[in-house]
Amino acid sequence: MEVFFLENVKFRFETDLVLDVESLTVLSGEVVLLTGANGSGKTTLLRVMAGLLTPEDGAIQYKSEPVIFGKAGLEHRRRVTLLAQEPYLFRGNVLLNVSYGPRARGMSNSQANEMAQEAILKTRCEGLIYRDAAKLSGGEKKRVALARALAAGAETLLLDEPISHLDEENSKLIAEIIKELAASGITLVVSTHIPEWASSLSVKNVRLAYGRIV
Amino acid sequence: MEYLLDGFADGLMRVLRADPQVMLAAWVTIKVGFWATILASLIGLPVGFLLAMGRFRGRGFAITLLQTSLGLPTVVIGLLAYGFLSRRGPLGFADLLFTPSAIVVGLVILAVPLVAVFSMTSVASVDERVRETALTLGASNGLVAWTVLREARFGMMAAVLAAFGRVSSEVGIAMMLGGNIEGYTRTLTTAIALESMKGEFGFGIALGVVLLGIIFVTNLLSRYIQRS
Repeated sequence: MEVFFLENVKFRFETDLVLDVESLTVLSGEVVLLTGANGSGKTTLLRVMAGLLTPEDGAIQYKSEPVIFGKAGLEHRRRVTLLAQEPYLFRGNVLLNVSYGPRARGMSNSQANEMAQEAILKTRCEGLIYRDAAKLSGGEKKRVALARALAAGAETLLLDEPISHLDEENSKLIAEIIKELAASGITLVVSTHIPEWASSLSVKNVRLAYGRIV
Repeated sequence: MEYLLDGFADGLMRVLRADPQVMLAAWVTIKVGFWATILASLIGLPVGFLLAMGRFRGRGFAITLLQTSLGLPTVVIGLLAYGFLSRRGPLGFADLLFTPSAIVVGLVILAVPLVAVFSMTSVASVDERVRETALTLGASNGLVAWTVLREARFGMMAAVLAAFGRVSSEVGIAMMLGGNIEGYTRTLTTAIALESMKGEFGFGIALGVVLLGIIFVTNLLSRYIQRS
């Protein structure tokens, strides 16, 4: 089943055309690896797919429905979650952060905490649950942010450079977690400028250069 | 020099003895300061939040107006409020002049711009990623705003405490609208002005020490909150 369908999507930053995607299809349960050098348009593409940036032209459909951008696109944002390259963790402990998504969907605190704990286990963050989010290391922050994105219950996860600034051990751990998420049926679009890192994953490669798929 | 030292000694003795006149003035100061801060916060915090988050016509003008009113002389505020509250004024029917409520009205006018500008700065300085993170985690527009507010809460609390410190040390408004009535509208600052003019230097010092103590504790709290 087709999850994302993009056609002639253009995004301009001031006067520069930074994204010009002719066609891109993402299928359900697929892991798409977006590669390309820094500045090739990976982050912009993910932000457009997440509904955070409105393209100036083109069509984007999610499960055959046009994506609604910005604040009005609540429905889309609840189905597709973006994990930013430099994720921001809210003030408070890890559990409070991870349970944010379920609480945003109106779940009770106990239900939200239950979902958060499941995601925390999946991302190997169980030792961090009551730690102050501000005092975590870079690798821990990435894992907690991944747990938070996962707990939000999205069908599709967009991960922007999930291993940037991480050591080898943490990078392997993230690759393992992604593999498990893919096996559980979650559709993933992952950007990276180090494609070798994802060699253990079975992925569809999409290479970007100067905002175009090459 | 002897006169100064005697004044300080007398002042400290009055503080240690908990002189009833000093304590009464301190109580009035805290009471009017508390209510003025609460009311100013109820107006100033939402205004600051809206100015930081909203994008609407006239926003720039509103910010300039608020920033300008930070420098409004307190006697001018006192004079304007006096005009409104006096028997001949449009709010004369309320019979508020020379009551603690009148002082509160003037202090609210003084503190609203302060709370609004400080809280606007604190909301505006919240990391841009907070809004986006909340959006992408499926938060509604209301929850996004609440999340930003939550992240700015320490700055906003500091704004409230700064307002309390400012209204507690104000003299012009309290004098003009309160009338310096002993045990009723006499605050620490108006009492200092009166006692020093009467030559009661020690009494003035005692009042000053208590006032400084109140402001010191307020600043300690503010620092603690900001460091949190």
